[in-house]
Amino acid sequence: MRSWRLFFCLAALSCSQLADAQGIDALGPQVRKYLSVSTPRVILEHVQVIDGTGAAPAPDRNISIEGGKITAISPGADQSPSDGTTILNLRGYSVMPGIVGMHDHLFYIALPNLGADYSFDAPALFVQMSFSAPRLYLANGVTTLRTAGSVDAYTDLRLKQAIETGVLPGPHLDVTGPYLEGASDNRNLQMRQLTGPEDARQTVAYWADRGVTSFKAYKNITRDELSAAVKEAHKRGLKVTGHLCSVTFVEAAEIGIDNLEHGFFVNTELDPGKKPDTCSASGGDYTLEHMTPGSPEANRLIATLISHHVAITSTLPGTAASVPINASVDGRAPVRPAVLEAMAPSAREAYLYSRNRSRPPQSNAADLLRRDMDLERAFVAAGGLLLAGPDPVGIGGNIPGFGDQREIELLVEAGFPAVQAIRIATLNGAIYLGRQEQIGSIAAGKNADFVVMKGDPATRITDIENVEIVFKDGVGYDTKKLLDSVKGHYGEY
Amino acid sequence: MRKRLTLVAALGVALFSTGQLAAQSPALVTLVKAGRLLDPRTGNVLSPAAVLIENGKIKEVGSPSRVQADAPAGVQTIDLGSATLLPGLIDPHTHLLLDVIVPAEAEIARRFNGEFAPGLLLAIVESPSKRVLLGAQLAREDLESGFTTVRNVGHSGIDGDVALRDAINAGRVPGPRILASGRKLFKNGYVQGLNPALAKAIRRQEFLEVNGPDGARQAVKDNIFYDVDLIKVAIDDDISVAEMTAIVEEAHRQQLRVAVHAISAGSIQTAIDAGVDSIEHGNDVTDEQLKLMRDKGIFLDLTPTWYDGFWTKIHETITVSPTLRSANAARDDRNRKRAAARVQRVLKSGVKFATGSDMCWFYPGKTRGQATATMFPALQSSGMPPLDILRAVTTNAAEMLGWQDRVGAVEPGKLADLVAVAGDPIADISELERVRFVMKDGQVVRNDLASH
Repeated sequence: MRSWRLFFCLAALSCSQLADAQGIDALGPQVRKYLSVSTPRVILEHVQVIDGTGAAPAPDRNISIEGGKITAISPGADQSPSDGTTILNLRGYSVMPGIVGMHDHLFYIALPNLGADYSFDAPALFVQMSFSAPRLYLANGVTTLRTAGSVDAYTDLRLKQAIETGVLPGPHLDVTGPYLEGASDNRNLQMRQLTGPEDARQTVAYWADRGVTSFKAYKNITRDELSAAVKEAHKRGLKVTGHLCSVTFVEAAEIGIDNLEHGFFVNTELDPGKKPDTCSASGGDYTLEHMTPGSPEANRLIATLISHHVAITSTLPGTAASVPINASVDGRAPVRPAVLEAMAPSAREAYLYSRNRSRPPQSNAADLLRRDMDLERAFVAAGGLLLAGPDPVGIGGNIPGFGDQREIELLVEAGFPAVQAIRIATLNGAIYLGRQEQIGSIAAGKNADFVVMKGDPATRITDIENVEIVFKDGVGYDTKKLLDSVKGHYGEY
Repeated sequence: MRKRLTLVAALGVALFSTGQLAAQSPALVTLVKAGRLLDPRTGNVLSPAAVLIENGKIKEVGSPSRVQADAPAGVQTIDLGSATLLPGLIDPHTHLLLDVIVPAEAEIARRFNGEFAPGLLLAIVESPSKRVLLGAQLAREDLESGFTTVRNVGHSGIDGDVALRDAINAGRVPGPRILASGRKLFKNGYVQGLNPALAKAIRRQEFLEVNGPDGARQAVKDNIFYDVDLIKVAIDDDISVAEMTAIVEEAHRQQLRVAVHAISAGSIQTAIDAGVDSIEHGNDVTDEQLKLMRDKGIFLDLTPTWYDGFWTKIHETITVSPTLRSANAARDDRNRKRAAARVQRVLKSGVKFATGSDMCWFYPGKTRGQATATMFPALQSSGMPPLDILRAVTTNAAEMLGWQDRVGAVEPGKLADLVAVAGDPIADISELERVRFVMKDGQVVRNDLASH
C-alpha cells in the first residue's frame, strides 16, 4: 500500500493549514465576548486527565499552557504563577481532548408544513446553520470537525475563514465539498447529480481549487464516478468518504475510498437483488441483519476494510433516536433540556412530533442498532480505525455538539470502555486527518485543545455533558455564554 | 493631607475610644466568592477565588477552600457565581459638580461661547448648595458603576468637592472615596469671552489666579485652607516655569500632589520643568517629553472619553443638522487618529500612565457612572490592550494618587473595594460598562449577580 502511505503524508501537509494556533490578540469582539480564560499562560491545577489515547485516567495533574500549546503535564500541586497566568483550581473536574467530530454537518433539515402525524410537503430543505452550529459544536467540546457533506460549500469556506481569522467563534473546520451524488431519483434540490466520471473529476478539482479539504460520495454514485473522484482528490492530497448504497463497502474499499460513513448501516453487498451501481431497495438493512460478527462474511468485510486502510465513522445518535434503547417511560430517551432550549420553535415542534409518533418507523431498528454496534466493536478489535460523528441535522433531537457527546455515550452503550470511546471521538479523528502530532490527545507540545468538565466521565460517561470551559488553541471558551447566544435559534439560522 | 491629620489629632481621645469599642465587639467579617479573580498588576487570574474581609479591609485572598478554612464559622458569604472579581475602579479625572447639557445647535452657532459657556454658567446660575447636591447624585451614580475612588479636579466651587468628600466619608451620602482639589489654579482662559461681570463671578468662585511666584504660593495656601487633597493647575501657555515651580514647592511642602491640565507641548514642558506629579490630557506631548516624564517619574493621565466619537455620540441625543453632524464626525475622526497615535507612543515610551474620564457632561440615557465607563471601549478602540486599560484605572491610578497602599488591588491589607463583572474583561473590555457587583469598605453597594 505504498500509494496509501504517500497519500497520508500529503494529507498531513495540507491539513496542517487547518489549525494554526490562534492567540487571543487575533480574536475579534464577536469571539472575545465568549471567552472565560484569555491570559497568555494558564495552569489547570489538580485536574483528572483523560488524555485521549485510551489510557486510564490520570488523577490530580497540573496542565500548563503557554502560547496556545500544552507545555507541561505534571503531578498536581499548588503553583505560584508568573505574570499573565490564569490558575484554575479544578479539583473534582476532568479534562479530555477536544472532540474531533467527523460527521458534523453545518445544516438543519427543514420539513415544510410538518404535521402532527409527521407528514410534510416536498421539498425537504437543508438550511445553513452557519450561526448556531459552530457555537453549539464549540460550546460542547468540539474543537475540530469535518462537515461531511455540504449544500453550500462557498458559505462553509467563508465560515472557516471567519473562524480562523478570529472574526467568529467556532471549531477548526475540514470543509467537505458538495455531495458527490450520482444520477438518480434523489429529489433533493440542493444536491447536484453527476453526469459521469469526468464530471466527478471536474467537480472535485473545482472545489479543491476553492479550498475544500475533503469530499463525500453519496448514495447513488457509480463506481466509475467514485473512482474518478477518489483519484482526483488523492492527487491533491485530499481524502474521500462516502455514505453509499449503489457501491458496496468492499467495492469502495477496492476503489480506494478513505472512509465510510454510518458504521455498517449502509453496506449493501448482501442485499437481495443488488445490481452494480444501483442502490438496493433494502438500502443496507438486509446486509446488516445478515452480517453476523464472527461470520465469514463479516470477517472478510472487516479484513478488506482494514487492509485498504478504510476508516469507519460511527454515527449512532441519529439511529438511536428512533430506537427504544436507554428507554424512558414511553420507550425513547428524552433529549436534555439544553437541547430543547437551543432549538428554534419550529425545530422543537418537529422534534416533539417525531417523538410522539406511536411506533418506531422500523420494528427491528433496535436489533439493527445493536448489530451495528457489535460490528463497530469487531472492526476496532481487528485493528480498524473507527471515527465518531453524530450526523446532526435536527431530526430526533440530534443537534450539533450535544450530538457529539451523545455519540460518545452510545459508543459506551455499544460496549467500548469510556476511555476508548473518548479516544474514538478524539485521537482517532486526528489520526485520520493526519493531525495527530498537533491535536487529538492531551500531551506536552500539542495544541491546547481540550474540554473541562465537572465530574469523571471515565466512571460515569454522562459527565461529558457537564462541560464548563472549552480550550481551543489555549484560549478558554465559556460554554454557557456560547449556548446562551444560540438559545432558540438552532433550526432558524 | 498632613493638615487634616493634625486637625483630626485634636479629636484623638474620641478616636481612641471608638477604636477600643471596635476591638471589643466581634469583627465584621465577610467572605466573597467568585468564579474568577483578576489581578491587574500581574494579569493573573485565580479561578475559583475567595476574598476574606474583616472590618472593611481585605484580610486574605486565595482559593475558596483555603480562605474558607481561615474564616470564622457561619461567616456571612456572598457568592458571585462565575463572575470575575476586580479591584474597585478609580477615575482619577472627573468633575462631579459639573453637568454640562449639550447646547442646542442654534445656541452653539449663534453665541460666541456657545459650546462651553453653559457649563461654566452653571457655576453661578445654580447656588453652591444645589451644586453639591448635584455632586451627591453624580457621586452615587459613579459608585454604582464601580468607581470606588475618584479624583475631582476642579469646577466645584470653593469647597464643594471637599464638602462632598467629607459627607461621603461620614456616611451621610453614598459615593466613592474622593480626592478633592478645590479650586483650579489658573492664569487665564475659560471665561474671557463672557460678560465681564459673569466672568468675574465665575473666576472668584471656581478658580484661584496665579500671579507671580508669590501669588502662586498664596493660591496653593488658599486651597489648603479649605482642606484639599491635591492641587490642580490649568496651564495654557500662560503660566511661567517660575510660577509653576512655586506651586509645586508649596504643594509638596504640604504633602500634596500637583496635577496639571496641559494640552500644548509648551505647557507640558513647563509642567515637566517644574516637576509636577501628573500631566492631565497631555494631547500634544512629544516623544522627548514622554522620555523626560518617564525619567522623572511624572504620570501622564490620559482622558480617553474623546478618543472614539464622543461628539457624535453626545449629539445623537439632540436634533442636529446634517452640517453639524458632519462637522462632529470630522472632529471625531481627527480625535480618533490622534488618540490612536498618542496611545501607541505612550505605550512604547514606558511612561507611567493612568486614564481619567474627564466626564463633565450630562449624557441622556446614561447615569454619570455609565457615561464615565464609556471611556473603556474608547480606549480599546484607540489601541490600548485590555490589561493596560485595567491597570490604568486600578494599580496605576492608585500609584498616581499616592494611594497604592489603600486601593487599586485585591490584596491583604487593602481597603475592601471590589467590583465584579459577569464575563472576562480581558477578552471583552466592554464588561467594565456592565459592573454587576460593587463593594466599598466591605459594604455591598450593588449586587445584581444571582447568588448560588
